[in-house]
Amino acid sequence: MGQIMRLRRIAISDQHIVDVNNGERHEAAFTTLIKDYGLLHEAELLSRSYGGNSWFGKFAPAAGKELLSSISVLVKGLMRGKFNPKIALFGHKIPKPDLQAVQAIYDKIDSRPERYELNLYIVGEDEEPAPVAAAVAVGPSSGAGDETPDASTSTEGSANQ
Amino acid sequence: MKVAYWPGCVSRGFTPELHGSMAKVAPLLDIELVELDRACCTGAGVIAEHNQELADTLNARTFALAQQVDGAELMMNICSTCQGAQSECQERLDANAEYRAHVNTTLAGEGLSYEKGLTNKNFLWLLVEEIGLDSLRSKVKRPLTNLKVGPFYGCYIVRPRERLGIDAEHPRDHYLDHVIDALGGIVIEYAGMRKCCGFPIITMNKEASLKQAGRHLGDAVDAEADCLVTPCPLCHLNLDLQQPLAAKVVGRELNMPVLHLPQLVGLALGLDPKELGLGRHVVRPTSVIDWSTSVVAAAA
Repeated sequence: MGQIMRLRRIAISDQHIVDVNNGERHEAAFTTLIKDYGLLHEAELLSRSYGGNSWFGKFAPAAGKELLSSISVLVKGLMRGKFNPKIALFGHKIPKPDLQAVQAIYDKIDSRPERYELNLYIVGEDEEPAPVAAAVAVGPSSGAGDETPDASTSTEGSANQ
Repeated sequence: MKVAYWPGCVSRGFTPELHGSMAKVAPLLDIELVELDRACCTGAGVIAEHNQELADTLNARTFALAQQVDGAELMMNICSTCQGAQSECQERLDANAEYRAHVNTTLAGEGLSYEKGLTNKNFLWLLVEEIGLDSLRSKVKRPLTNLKVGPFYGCYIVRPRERLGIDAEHPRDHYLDHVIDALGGIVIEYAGMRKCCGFPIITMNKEASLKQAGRHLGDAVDAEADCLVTPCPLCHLNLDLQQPLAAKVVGRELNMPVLHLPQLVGLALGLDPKELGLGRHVVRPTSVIDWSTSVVAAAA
């Protein structure tokens, strides 16, 4: 699974491959919404996944078509009190200082010249018996850089709770 | 027992009855919830598709906030997807001291630091491992006698087994069965109980997603379950909110109520169906509750 995720990062974040499914838009929308709100804005995620990663995404034909096909479910959910109309329309947020802290984390990490990844499946068994994990810097990122630790790493074994 | 409580996003958004029912059930189980209201979304595996370090750092921040809760024995969540995403990040953070130190450098600006070894349990695991089935059984005021309950585990709480600590001593992939039994209900096994509900692909291939949900619900109908219970609010969205559409896709009537785990526990502990938010479901659990008397199952 870790390798699949690594390939997805390359396909989506580096290459921005947009194919017939909404995978690229979904990832972009989800990541942006958490940066903007701290918590998931479900309704906005749906429309942006179909219509593009901006507030105007909901007006795209694909998003409109999806909204129409889901309207009966949404109305029923609203009538049952399944979701609060205010939250459905405007989302919900974490407190402002915390949102700013989350945004600072995004800014710092997204500004690295290369993504920093820890790959638990690069074991190096052939040459070194001890390490079970390796940190690697892979893929381009979007801005100016800052420090990343050395790629050779120490390990502390399994992490299951 | 005091816990640092992570409710997740969906339980406060599109399934508020989950968060609400957990708040009602907790005191009856002597659980003190200290909500982590400063923490952000786990990323549900999607932020990790964008940047693994970002997902790990956001979750390390949540873990660090949990570790600051005075007197909390552990961190608890009510969302399998959160559990899966958090376990994955914690696996990396706990495995590598240098990586953890690197992540903590980013958190230092807020005065936060994640120390290896936080215990983070889904409510289901906490029920069985911390409260105990015998203790749970002793608290039951309204046994779910004759109620045929199909457990719906979904993915994130049962796979991957090693990361989630599932072994012979901790058969966490059977805990829902054990809880249903402890509450006095009848466990109904059916084909889809540990399969994917389809939610993760709903924006990519809606028909396939609804077909998955419809098939599992149909399996449960065929096995004569009265209702399903799930520890995952995202599974709940696909199985309950989307059920009318799923029924159309699979071309059959389903009408299968799907309860959140705290709701099922709350019913057995004697809480009123209304305060557990059972009326908020798209498929109302009329087979579970006689609305006029609030008597469970036997009246159904």
